[in-house]
Amino acid sequence: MAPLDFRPVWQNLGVLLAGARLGATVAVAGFGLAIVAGLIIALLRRSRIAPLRWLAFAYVQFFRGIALYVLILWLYFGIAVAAGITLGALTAGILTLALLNSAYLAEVFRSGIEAVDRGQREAALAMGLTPRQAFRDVVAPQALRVVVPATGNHFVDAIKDSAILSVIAVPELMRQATSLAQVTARPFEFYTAAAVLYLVVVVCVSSGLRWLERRLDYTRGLPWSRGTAVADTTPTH
Amino acid sequence: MGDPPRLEPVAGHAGRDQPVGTVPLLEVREVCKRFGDNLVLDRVSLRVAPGEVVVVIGPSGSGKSTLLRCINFLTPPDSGDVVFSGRQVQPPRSSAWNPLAGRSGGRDLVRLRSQVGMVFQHFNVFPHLTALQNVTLGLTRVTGRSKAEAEVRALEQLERVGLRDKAHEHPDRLSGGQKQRLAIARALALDPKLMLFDEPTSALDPELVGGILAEMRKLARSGMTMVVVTHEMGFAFEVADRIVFMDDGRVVEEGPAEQFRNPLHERTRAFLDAILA
Amino acid sequence: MLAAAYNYRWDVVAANVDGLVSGLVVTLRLTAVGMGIALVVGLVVAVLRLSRSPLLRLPALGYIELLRGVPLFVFLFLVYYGLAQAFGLVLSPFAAGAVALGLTGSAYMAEIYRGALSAVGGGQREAALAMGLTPLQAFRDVTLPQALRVAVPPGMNLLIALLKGATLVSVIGISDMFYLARVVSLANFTPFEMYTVAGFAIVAVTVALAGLAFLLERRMARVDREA
Ligand SMILES: Nc1ncnc2c1ncn2[C@@H]1O[C@H](COP(=O)(O)OP(=O)(O)O)[C@@H](O)[C@H]1O
Ligand SMILES: [Mg+2]
Repeated sequence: MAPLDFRPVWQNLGVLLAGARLGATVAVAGFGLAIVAGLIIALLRRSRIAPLRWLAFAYVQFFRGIALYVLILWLYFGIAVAAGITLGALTAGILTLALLNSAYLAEVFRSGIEAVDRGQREAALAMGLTPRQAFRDVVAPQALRVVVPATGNHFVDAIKDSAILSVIAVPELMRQATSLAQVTARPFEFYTAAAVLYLVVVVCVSSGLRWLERRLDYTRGLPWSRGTAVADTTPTH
Repeated sequence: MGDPPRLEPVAGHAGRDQPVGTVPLLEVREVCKRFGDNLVLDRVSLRVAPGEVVVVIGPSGSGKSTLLRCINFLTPPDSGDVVFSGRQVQPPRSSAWNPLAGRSGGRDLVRLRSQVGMVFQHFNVFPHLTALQNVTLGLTRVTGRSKAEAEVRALEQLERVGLRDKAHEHPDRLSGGQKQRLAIARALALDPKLMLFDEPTSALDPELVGGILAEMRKLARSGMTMVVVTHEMGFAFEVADRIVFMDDGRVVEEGPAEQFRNPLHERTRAFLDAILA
Repeated sequence: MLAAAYNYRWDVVAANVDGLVSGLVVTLRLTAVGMGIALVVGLVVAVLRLSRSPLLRLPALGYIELLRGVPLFVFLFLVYYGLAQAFGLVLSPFAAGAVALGLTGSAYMAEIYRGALSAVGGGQREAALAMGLTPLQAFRDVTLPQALRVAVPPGMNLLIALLKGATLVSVIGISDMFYLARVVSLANFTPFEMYTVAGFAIVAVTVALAGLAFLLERRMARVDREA
């Protein structure tokens, strides 16, 4: 049991930081796709055509039910191989994050739309707003207030989940930490460094999101806006 | 505005007159309580003789609830004394270390509280327990009775307030009036020497108020010592031996119920005109 | 078509059914142990977190923020490889997995308890104190039982999250379905078959748990509505 020595970490900090940057990029790319796909799925969930609703429901259930680690192995080692597709690790990683998060976000968006009272839209239309205006000026701002905190939580989860992409050798932070830990035989130091870096990113992103939530909260400062329901921050991935 | 006029107690109900100079069951002396800059109780004093019924009235925010809560130290007073049954209640140690204790603790306090029953405006019955369990909880935990003994006594208490057949229902199956009866039974089961009522009918639908007042009237007739915060002046004139009018954290006027048919103080008069209008 | 080149060997899956089942059991056991740790440690942390003393509250807050900010995957490696190297603390993959899962879970569980404890109105505690219960009795007999009920639905979500997290532990060599899938696939070249079966097994369990959570929540909502 050798004494702890963090010098190798400092010497390789550049590599770790580059890994963190790549991980963040992958998370942002995957999450961006997930937002688009999630919106589509959410609308399909409310479609008038029943089979589309069922399909969307099955999609949501399936991808909410699977673990990221399982999905990535399946996609990268199983499906891609069987289908004879050469899937780059980076592409597979982004795709996995997108699939998984689109299912979570579809539910978030759906509940956001449903949280806005039907009467709100009717009142807006009654006063002569077009359906577009009613959505943009009345429904969307109210839905957004509901949707943003939950979406933010999923984004933070996506950043943390990017660590799992190391199992398919995406050279993100955790992958770099793992190789350096092996090479230098200093796992404690490198995994601690990785933990700290993830923590820093997560804390920064969370504070940014909280700022955004405050800006979107049109009830801010109103007496009844305090002590609203506690958001469920349970990890879902 | 000087001291509230001190009048000789007048005869209340037959057989319940207190000779002058009786040792009070409860004595509150010069109690002060502040929340931040807000002086909520300003040197409030109150003496309650055994068997006496005192009704406290006053505008919202005048400190009536805080006074009741200072008596059983749910809200510890900042200064002043509470003497109950001849014993001065020791102020609780504020326990920063025990996260469960909050601002309370001490054997003395538990003894006091087991002898002082309290009925709240919003009932505060325990929703996770049946009516029977609501009553037995105190009997087993506070007075250390066996479960069987506790159940026998609890059923008697439920019977007394007309809830015998609801013994195994959870409170969410009870009406507001029934919940408040349950709260009364729960307090009475511990055989308290003093009962505190904090606007027990304010949260009830009008048609349920009468039943609770009848229950309280019965209790008063049985000789229970009571401090009641209420705006039901009919009840006050009928049952109270004494009425205390509070405003802005002070006792403004205090005297036999009859005195309040024609109060001495302008503020009392204005308040009564407003609520009796 | 390229896909035709892949030689499907479902017989390999059939030959490994026993291994897959016992692998799933390992994952379930790991989840159960992790959840057990989360339930107990989480309650302690929540109570400290709600303390009025900063000396108790701030460390609890730090614990929660720390463990929720670090990915489980990283924490798992830190516990399994890091502790062995730095402190000579050699854990089995199962033990390391249970510790990482349980402690991470406890941070989330602490927040669930905290929300649930705050959701029980202060009037309940006061009524209990007013009748002479000690603060400890008031907590144990009045506040906690009500809070636990509030904590059930988010607790079920956490259980599902921990089950998904438990699949990760195969990376440090616990013999679960995914470990087996890797080994068998290397020998027989059957990654599609093995991962598909293992993947569907996990989805089946989590969807079943989610269904159970849904039913539970609906039943409790109905009880509340009848209030
Ligand atoms: N826990 C508390 N913290 C701060 N202020 C309080 C608290 N409890 C009561 N107050 C304030 O004390 C004053 C008296 O309250 P209360 O005793 O409830 O009046 P009443 O029962 O006569 O309506 C009010 O101004 C109220 O806002
Ligand atoms: Mg009050």
